[in-house]
Amino acid sequence: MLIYLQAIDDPQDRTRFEAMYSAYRGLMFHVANRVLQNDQDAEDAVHLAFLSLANCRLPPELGPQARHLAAVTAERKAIDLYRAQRRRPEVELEEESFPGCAPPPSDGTLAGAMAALPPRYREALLLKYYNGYSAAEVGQLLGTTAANVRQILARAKRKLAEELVERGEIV
Amino acid sequence: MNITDEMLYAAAPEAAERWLDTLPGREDCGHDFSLTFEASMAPVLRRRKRRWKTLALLAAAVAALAALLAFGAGAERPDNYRVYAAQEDGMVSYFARPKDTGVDLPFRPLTPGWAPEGFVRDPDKTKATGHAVFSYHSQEDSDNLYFYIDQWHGEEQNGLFAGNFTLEDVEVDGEDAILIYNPDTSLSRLLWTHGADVFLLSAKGLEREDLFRIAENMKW
Repeated sequence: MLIYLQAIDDPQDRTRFEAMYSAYRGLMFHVANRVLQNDQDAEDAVHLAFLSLANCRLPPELGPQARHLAAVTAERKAIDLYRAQRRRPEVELEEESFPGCAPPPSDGTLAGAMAALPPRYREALLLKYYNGYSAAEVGQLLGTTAANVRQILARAKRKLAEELVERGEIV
Repeated sequence: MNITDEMLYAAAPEAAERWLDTLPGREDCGHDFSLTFEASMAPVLRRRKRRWKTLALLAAAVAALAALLAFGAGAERPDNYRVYAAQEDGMVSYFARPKDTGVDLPFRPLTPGWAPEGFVRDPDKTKATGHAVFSYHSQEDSDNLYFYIDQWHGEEQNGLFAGNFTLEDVEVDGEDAILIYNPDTSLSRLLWTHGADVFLLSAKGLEREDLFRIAENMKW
């Protein structure tokens, strides 16, 4: 733990981090708990999420992008914890659905289809195209490599295209 | 059909908004985080910067941690200590070493045989493994006062707390113990050993005599 204390001062980063901690830790707990269904495990996931956020470029101010970043990071850590606890690391890309985590219904639009994607696809897409992170930064947040993020993004785009074709959307 | 980056950039804000709309508002996300969570977050919140300047700094930090745990804070640790704690730069490091009984005793989880009035064990937060148990109690009508006990069997333990604590050498059932107390937050920790087991009682808002009464009434 002391390694945290050895770092160099950057008041702006610290302020952003503390603001996110104050504003979103309750939300992050809620997001993690709807995956894990256990308070203690959800707190562990929130803690892990903040460790990831402490190493990433944070939005300059609180708002939808910061809220999205906080919620997605907590969701990812919770899903990873869920998989680890059940020793099911092979459930990688599609992932199962979780109680209370029903995605918003897709209405055939690209935005609707993106929001309704499986978590890993949605997280990678929105971290890149909404939060503006690079593949390396997305990988850091999702706990994987930049190369794997590019693969996930490619698969997510293919899945989006399939979904929209199925619904008769012509792009 | 080709989905371009431009299309994704254009659709992403609405997609994010739709997903965020499935989450509750801030007013519906209240949660009293546990003492364990607060303690684990304290060092992170004290962190001053998000990135390491150089790998050398990281190496130095790891070395400092190792030195603290192995030698630094324990520079004055007696060879035959059971429990030991030291405070430095707003951090308390603690060490506990169970007795080597010479016999491979089976692990017997202990639970409090007495608790202050109104406190009940929370079975959802109580966990046990083959060599450790975590027992959590809180008041029935409030999560603001609580205590929990970690018990480890046959293994040395050490750890760190962030905060402004006072340290006091005490005894629990005639065994050496250390009382670690933060007057700012009313957080207390009582560390002791019994036979091959190490115990750490953590509490918020409990009276001193209640802490000792809990510790001295562990049963199986």
